Amino acid sequence: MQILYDIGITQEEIKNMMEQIGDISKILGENLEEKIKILEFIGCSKNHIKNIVVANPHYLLRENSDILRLIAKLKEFGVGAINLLFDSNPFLLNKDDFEIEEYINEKLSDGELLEDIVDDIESNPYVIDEI
Amino acid sequence: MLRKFLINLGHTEKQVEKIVNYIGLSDYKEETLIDKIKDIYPFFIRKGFSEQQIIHMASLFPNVYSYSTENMESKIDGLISIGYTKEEAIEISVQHPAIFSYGMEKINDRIKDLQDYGYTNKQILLVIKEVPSIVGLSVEKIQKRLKDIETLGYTSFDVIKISVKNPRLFTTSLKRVKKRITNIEKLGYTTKDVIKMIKNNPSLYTLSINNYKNKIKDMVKLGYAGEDVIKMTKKLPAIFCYSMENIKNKIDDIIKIGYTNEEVIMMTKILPTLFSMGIDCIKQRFDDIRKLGYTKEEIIEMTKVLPAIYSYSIENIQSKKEFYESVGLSWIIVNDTKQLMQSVDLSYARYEFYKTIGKNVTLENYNCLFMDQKQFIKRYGIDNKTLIQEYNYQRYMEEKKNANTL
Repeated sequence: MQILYDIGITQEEIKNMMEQIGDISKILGENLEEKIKILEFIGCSKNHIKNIVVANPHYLLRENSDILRLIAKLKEFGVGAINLLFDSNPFLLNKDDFEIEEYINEKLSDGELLEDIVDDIESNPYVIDEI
Repeated sequence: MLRKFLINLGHTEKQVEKIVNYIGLSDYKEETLIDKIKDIYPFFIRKGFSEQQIIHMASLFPNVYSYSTENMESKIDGLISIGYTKEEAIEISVQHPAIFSYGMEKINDRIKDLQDYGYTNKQILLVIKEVPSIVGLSVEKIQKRLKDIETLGYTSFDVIKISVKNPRLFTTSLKRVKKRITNIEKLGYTTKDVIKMIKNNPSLYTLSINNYKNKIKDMVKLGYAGEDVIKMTKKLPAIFCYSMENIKNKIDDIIKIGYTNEEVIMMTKILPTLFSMGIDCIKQRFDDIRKLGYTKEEIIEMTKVLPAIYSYSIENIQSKKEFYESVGLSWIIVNDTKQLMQSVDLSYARYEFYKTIGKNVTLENYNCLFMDQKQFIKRYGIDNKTLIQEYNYQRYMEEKKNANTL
């Protein structure tokens, strides 16, 4: 839990997070650290990480492999500045890689260009949920 | 003689028929079996079993009336030695009295098999307690069952997580598991959606299909479109576990803050996570934003458009407010709130970039801060990643903080 305090999350915020996801201390110490490291790896600052984790505590319950596959899929399609994307819409981190693929493939089959689809996602990170 | 004795103990006629004809007992002389039961029955009472539990065990597995008490005592002690309490050991024996027929080596072997797959000791004890018959399965059957669940689209880690919450998966046929998934799909999900929902919320597996259907129907009665409920439950599958009373109360509580019913329906449609947030948390955030200087009406307007504000930390909201106020664009916060979803890092970087090329950003042209990246690159030849490295908001804030300290 110290790791959450280290990134500036307050006790009150942790209490609010626990209301949503249950006892955070049950998430093993290393797992919590790994979740933070993944965000650091993609370029998130301490503030970004705090914004993401406070807004979307469900992120802490996700499998690391699922998160990494999501990031890889976004990169595969050419989405840049992924740290900003998640800072803008922390709930995107709850998506699986197949959901990104389905969204993009559906748009491609509508005749849209990949660069335009990616542009939409980067400009409006909530667009995937607006289908 | 034996039948009368068993009836006096508390067995029904049907149970007596089963016991007297049971393979393993039918070879005993009646007097011998009665003597054995006279020994075994008080043994179980001494160990803490109730009369009903003994009757239940013997009805399920009549052979308990033929085993030696030393043998059965060693099994109970064996279960305690691997981590169960006495009450749990009794519970397991009552649920699956055939456990008395296994050697402790078999029980230990099953434990090892599950450990090899990746289960922790705690998880194994939980699984065996819920479904003790797992111990009776062969190692090949257990391995096959675990692999079968993987074929649905789960990793071994997922399988452990799901099976610990639903140990009956070990004894449910793959056909039945697939049928359960297909039934949920028919409500409007893809296979991958259902796999993901169950993975993240294993308790969803045990909900009956009627539970799913009723929840969707009840949500529609509240004012959501059916397809919206499907989308909402994909984002927050836990909705299926919430009672309708809780959901209605949450909607009413948010209305009391100052929204109309339609507004709350819209907000929760966009951000179903609101259902998982405590109302005190939502009210606290509302008060926090008020303390930043916004009126109740302004906050209602902002959060109608961007309900995610309720999930932001107050520092996040504050930093966005401070930035847009510092550049004379505070109007955006209330009147074009959706722009607040853009990372302040990018807004700052673009603002500073425009400054360096001599472009003034005002209320008339502020949309240039939120231009599509493609358009921005086409016009200015620089992408977001490079931009935020060049005009680094975090660095600027650090420098500002250090300057204030000095």
